[in-house]
Amino acid sequence: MQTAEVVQGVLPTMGRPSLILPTVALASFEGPLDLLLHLVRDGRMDIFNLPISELCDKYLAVIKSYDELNLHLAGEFLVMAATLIEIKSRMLLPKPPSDPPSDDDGSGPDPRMELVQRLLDYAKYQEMSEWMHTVEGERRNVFFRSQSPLAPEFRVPPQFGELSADQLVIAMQRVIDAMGAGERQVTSVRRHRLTVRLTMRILLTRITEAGEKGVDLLDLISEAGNGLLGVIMVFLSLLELLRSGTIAVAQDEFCGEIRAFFIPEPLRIDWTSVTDEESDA
Amino acid sequence: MRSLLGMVEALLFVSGDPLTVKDLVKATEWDEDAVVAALHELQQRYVTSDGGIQCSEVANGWQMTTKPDYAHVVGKLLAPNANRLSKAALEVVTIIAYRQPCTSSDIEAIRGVTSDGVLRTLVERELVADVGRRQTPGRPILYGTTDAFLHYFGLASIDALPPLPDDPDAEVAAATETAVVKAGGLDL
Repeated sequence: MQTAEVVQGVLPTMGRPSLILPTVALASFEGPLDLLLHLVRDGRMDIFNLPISELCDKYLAVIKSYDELNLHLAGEFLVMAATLIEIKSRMLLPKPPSDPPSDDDGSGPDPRMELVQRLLDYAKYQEMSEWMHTVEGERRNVFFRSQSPLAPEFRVPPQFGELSADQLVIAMQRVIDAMGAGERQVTSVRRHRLTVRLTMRILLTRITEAGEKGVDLLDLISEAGNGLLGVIMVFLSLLELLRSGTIAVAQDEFCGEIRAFFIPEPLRIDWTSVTDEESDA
Repeated sequence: MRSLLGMVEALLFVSGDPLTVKDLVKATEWDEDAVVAALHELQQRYVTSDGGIQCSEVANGWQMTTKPDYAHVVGKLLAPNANRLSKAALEVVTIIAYRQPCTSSDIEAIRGVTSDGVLRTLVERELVADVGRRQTPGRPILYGTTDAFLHYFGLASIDALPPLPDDPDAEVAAATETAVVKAGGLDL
């Protein structure tokens, strides 16, 4: 129905109230194009043969009323006023192109054309945004559950890039639980001869030996030894190795195993140029 | 006795959030065609039943929601969610949806007004996101819509958007930042 109206050159009014009190109505315009479209619709002007003089006068009247109220006027409105006046003056020059313009009259482009195209373009998106508004409203009649507060081990897997710090803590807890660190009641204080440098060397050897296939992260953790400290060392060392570009990690499928593999010297890339996706993995 | 339909239903029930077919395939260990068929069967069953639940395709996944018919009663229990989008926000999100990926200046060219504030709000609401940079001077941020956008508007996928109203110059307009007008486009 609306398309039919467009063919006739009159844009649908989109249910906006008539511009009886422009000063009041102005605030609701989303910019000069919105205002122009409203004037075109309200005045039932033919968009394909835009009465530029009439439109210009009406537009300037609205701008003037705005000015009289001493309201702040966005720069875009003034630019549009200038554009309208420019088009109007070009239309007044001798030998104005006959309308509607066509390819073969040789009179050069219609000065209104760019503006008309912008208006049509904008009208199109406005029409679709009305549709979006309707859909948005309908959608509000539908309720859904947010993720239910399940025990951590039953949590639905998060999507990539949606991991929060909480989930990291849960993952860490799972690793610690798996090695039974939480069960230890008696502890003794002793000095660990474990350094990140040493762990890095051990890990690097292990990962290099695994070749192209790489090593599962969970294997590295379970092989760590030295309890919690060992696991922490493995993590720190892995991060250090990743940072230096000596190793890379990959996860082929969601929630699949995370594999660490060795990167030979010539293939190493500066870690700052690694894309987000890779560093997420 | 366990049926695939039952498995799918159980999974959608516990998830709450939309589950992709891939998620369901992984959990049920059935092939994709069977899972999709089960989803449609489940959807149909909810349509024909007079219960308050439905199963629908949204945001590239499937989700169980209440039926719109029961909106008023659920609305009495639950507090209304975030405010609706403003007219400006709807315009901007619409432009991004159809023109994505696009920059802030692409949007400005269409609306004739700066849209940065609105754009920020949309990014905050996670309806649009930074999807990269255009390889032009200044490397402006390119915006695209998110799954949250699809979910917010209840769209199954970005292809579920209706086509833009007929525009012979759509491709020309898309290729240039300021619309280049062909006389042919006005010969209506």
